[in-house]
Amino acid sequence: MDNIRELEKRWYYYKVKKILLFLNSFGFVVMLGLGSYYAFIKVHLIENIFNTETLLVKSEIETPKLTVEPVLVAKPIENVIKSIEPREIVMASKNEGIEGSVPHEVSLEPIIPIIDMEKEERKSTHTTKYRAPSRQTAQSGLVRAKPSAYLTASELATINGKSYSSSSHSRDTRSIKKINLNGTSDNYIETIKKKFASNKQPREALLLAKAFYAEKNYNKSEEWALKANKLDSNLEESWYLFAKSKAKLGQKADAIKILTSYYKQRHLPKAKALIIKIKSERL
Amino acid sequence: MMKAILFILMTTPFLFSSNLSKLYKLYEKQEYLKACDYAVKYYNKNKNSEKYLTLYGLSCLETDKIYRIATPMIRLGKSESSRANASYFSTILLQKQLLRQALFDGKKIDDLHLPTTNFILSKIFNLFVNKEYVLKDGIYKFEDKDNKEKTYKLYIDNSRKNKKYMMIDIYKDEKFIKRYRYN
Amino acid sequence: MTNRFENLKNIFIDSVDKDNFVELESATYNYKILEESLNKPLKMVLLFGKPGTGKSMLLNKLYHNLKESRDIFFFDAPILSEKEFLRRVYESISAKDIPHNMRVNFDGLLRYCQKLKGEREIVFLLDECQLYSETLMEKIRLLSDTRVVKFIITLHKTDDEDIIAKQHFKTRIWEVVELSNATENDLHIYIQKKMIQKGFVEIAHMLQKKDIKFIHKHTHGNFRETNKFLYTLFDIYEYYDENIPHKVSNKKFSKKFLEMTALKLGYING
Repeated sequence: MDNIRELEKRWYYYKVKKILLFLNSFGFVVMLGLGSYYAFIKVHLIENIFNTETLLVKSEIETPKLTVEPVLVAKPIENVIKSIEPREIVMASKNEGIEGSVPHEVSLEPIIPIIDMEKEERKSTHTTKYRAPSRQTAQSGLVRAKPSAYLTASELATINGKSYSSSSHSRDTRSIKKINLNGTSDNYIETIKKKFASNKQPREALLLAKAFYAEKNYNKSEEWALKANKLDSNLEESWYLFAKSKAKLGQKADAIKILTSYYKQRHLPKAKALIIKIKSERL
Repeated sequence: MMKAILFILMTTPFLFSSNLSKLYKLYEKQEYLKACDYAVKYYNKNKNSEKYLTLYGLSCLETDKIYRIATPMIRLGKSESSRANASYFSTILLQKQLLRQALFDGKKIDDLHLPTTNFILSKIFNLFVNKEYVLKDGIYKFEDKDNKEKTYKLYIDNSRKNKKYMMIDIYKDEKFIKRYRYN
Repeated sequence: MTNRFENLKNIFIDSVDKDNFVELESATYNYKILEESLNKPLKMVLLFGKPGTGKSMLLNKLYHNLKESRDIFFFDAPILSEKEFLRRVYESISAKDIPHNMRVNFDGLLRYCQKLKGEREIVFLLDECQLYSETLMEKIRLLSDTRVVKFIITLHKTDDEDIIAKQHFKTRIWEVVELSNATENDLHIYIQKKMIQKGFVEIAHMLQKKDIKFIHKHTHGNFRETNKFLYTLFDIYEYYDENIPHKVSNKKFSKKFLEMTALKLGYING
């Protein structure tokens, strides 16, 4: 019967319409859900900002408490610390209110987050070839963002004498005259020598020792390291540099002896590590 | 119209792609300026993520636009670690402001004890407050007691019209390695 | 050999044949009430309901069950001419034929009925009374006042006629029996019994609750509409069975065919 065929066509058309209607309503519901979610987040955010703003406003009101006037200007620093009134110490001391007490040093460090890279990668639609090396992973995929290494690759390159590509650096060299970027090692050594001659600081001597060591002039480095050490026996680096120079000059036994006695005094792990390094000829 | 809806439905999950992993990667590569710009760009989508905010702050901390750390700083606070990070950021920001005041306006900030941080600004602030510097030709020079090879210079840069910048130059073994320019 | 679906569909051809009466609880209940009302000192009984709820079927059954034991007459089609109506009434009561050129006088009929008081109790079943004029309805009322003649009348339930029913007959003692559309359960039983009555047991058991739900959704449980639905459904089945037999399932009813039926009958907009 043609009628039935016609009816069947109508039925197909009806089915398609039904599916489209369902998808339409489903889509509408999803959009409505998303819209409400976004609206909720915004409202939440506005509330939070409002709360934060009132907090900020409050803190502004309180800043007058931050007295910057010095208590004592002329006295040396050590005396100043002792005579500071507790109320003038802001945010620093746990022992506020205790008169005459030495302010307690508060140290802050950032707490680096642990990121579940696998989870984040799954969320991401952009696949990149770079995969961050996982450090301290208890489970796979978890990485701890390391604290800033402070010296970026470009900066390290500068120290190592390679080309330096930072744009801010190139921008500024022209304007600031006082920065001397181009120094040869001879100039450097001479400069430091002059400085040492004027101020006789152990730091200068140590710098010289290092410069000579870098130039593989181990005799000189040994000499200057010793000088630095005589001026300040607490200068840790001077000990190491002295021992290293000795070792490089072939006097390993002496180097180890010196380091061992230093280690017995101070028990520094770095000293021990150096001893092992010299012993294993990995210097 | 239906097609459009279906398309939207299919792609909405991907609108929530992970900015956090991208930001982390940039931070790990030490591309701090890129990371900071990226963090700012996708801030709105991720402002409820404490990890995102922390990385945002840490990245922008290493740039000249240190004032940007204020944004994540005010939002961090849902957990103990995020509160600690917020204090860390706000301390550094406060130290920068005070140092700038001291430099530009001669404000006395001697004997001021703020919490210390390992960030360069904090170090310089503490050395400045304790007057452990050598002042010559308007440049404050500091030596790092913990890293003997490092020295720092603090001075004002007036070379631009109507704009003053607080400059911090870092030297390692007398070689210039990094500069911060703060306005 | 006729297609089995052709036979099936014929079951659902609308008719008031008493043999097609399906015993449903609700129908049985109403039937009993009607039967009992005849024993009560009532003048008129109103059988009331939407078209297709089974009023005619009920009257028919009543008539056939009681015709041997009672003085009962069934006017299955309304007699719109008053003259004709009175004639028929008289002919039924007197069992005499009246020549066509003679007119029955109402007063005469009334007196005739009054004379029969105490001797006879006559019941008239009148179907589709909504078509009777008001004057005729008055005459019917007057006849019932004789207490010799009882009337069971059916009326279609519409909002207007609701009001009319109340106004006209509120002063009389009435029994009102209301018929309503079948529930899903009743509909299920109705359809199944109809099929089983004619020997289609397997197909009757193929029917599932969801199919009934679908049918009920569209026909609202109205018997007439349901009959029409099933007739159309089996008509479609007949076509497919003859031309594309692989599309016809022996295990369950096809949703597609049900929807096609609904489309054809205009329940769904295609």
